[in-house]
Amino acid sequence: MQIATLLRYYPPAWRARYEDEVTDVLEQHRVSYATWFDLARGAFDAHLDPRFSGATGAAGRRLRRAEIAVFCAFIAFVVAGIGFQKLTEDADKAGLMQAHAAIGLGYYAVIVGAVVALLAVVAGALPIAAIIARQAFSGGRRDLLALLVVPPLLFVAIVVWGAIDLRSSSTIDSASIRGLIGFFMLATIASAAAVSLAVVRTDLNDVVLGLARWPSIIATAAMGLSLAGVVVWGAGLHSAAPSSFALDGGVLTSYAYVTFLRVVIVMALAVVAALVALWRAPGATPTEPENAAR
Amino acid sequence: MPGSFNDLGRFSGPGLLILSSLADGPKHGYAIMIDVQEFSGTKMEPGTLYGALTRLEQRGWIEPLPPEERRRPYRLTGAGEAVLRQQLESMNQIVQTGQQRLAAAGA
Repeated sequence: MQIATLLRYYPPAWRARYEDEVTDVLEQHRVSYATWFDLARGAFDAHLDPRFSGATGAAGRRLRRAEIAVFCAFIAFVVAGIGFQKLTEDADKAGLMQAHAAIGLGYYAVIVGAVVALLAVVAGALPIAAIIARQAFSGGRRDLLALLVVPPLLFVAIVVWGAIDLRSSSTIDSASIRGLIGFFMLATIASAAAVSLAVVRTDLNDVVLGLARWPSIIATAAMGLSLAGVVVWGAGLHSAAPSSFALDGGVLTSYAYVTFLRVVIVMALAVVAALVALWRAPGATPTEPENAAR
Repeated sequence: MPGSFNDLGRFSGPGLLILSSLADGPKHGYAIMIDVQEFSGTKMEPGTLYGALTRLEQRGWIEPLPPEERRRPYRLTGAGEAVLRQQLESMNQIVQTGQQRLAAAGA
């Protein structure tokens, strides 16, 4: 491969402005491994630079909204998953999973879906997170910095709240747990909103948004698999041990069927929201060279 | 967007070398690389050179001249000259301070 072919991996706007010059330089330059590495790093840098993305088109804006929607759906999914985990805690259900294939299959589908969704969200979010951090710290964007500190601050607040409850009493009463769970829910919503707002306010080019497209689709599919797993698990459990749904094994000692229904509803809403958002964002087209920064 | 020199991040070193290279007149990319290597011993690779050039150009410290075939010369602007003087003055102060302290320690 010729070294100049690396220039194809620069953004179109950058190539329109600099490709001829750099090609000329490369023809006179003694190329080494350092040159390859340096050009590859330069391509990465150029993709992170909003000046070479130009204005994000309508397709890019739709894709950004869809990716934010998938992220928020995933957060809702995780919260619902905590409720599902509570349902599976007691030993009786663990035994039923061994004895009844449908219950075990449903449970493992939930786990596989959750892990794949998590990996996909992380993979899709990493490039975007890198750009937000870069613009927040290097670009001196205080608005982004303020939004980025919301999730860790709220996490610390939850930990402190729990620690104070534990120190004040060896057993935490029901009112304290309700308060903590209520605060956790509010903190989760506030954190998801802060991260979403940071994504909205960051200059992201279509290429970076495009990188998160497939991870968003995979995450949505994996959430769908988990949802199916929860339904199969619940149907299996209802068939094998219907009385277990009437016990107070749910969140905050609620009836298990109440928690189960809430989990299914939240997960279903999350999957539908993610699907609708992805359906409305068919794809982002790369920015044309005429949008180049001059 | 003038910005500050420190905002250039990893391109602040190459940026200073490029501004210094253009201080005696316009040069195109390859000529800058050769000149920088001659006066500083720094071998600048093309990716770094153009990463720095785009940032200097964006800040209005250098400006492109009409291309000569595929080569496009760049020249220092008034703002670029002011930034270069300021950076060199700052470095000069560091050099003088260091030398004075070394001399005092050796005395």
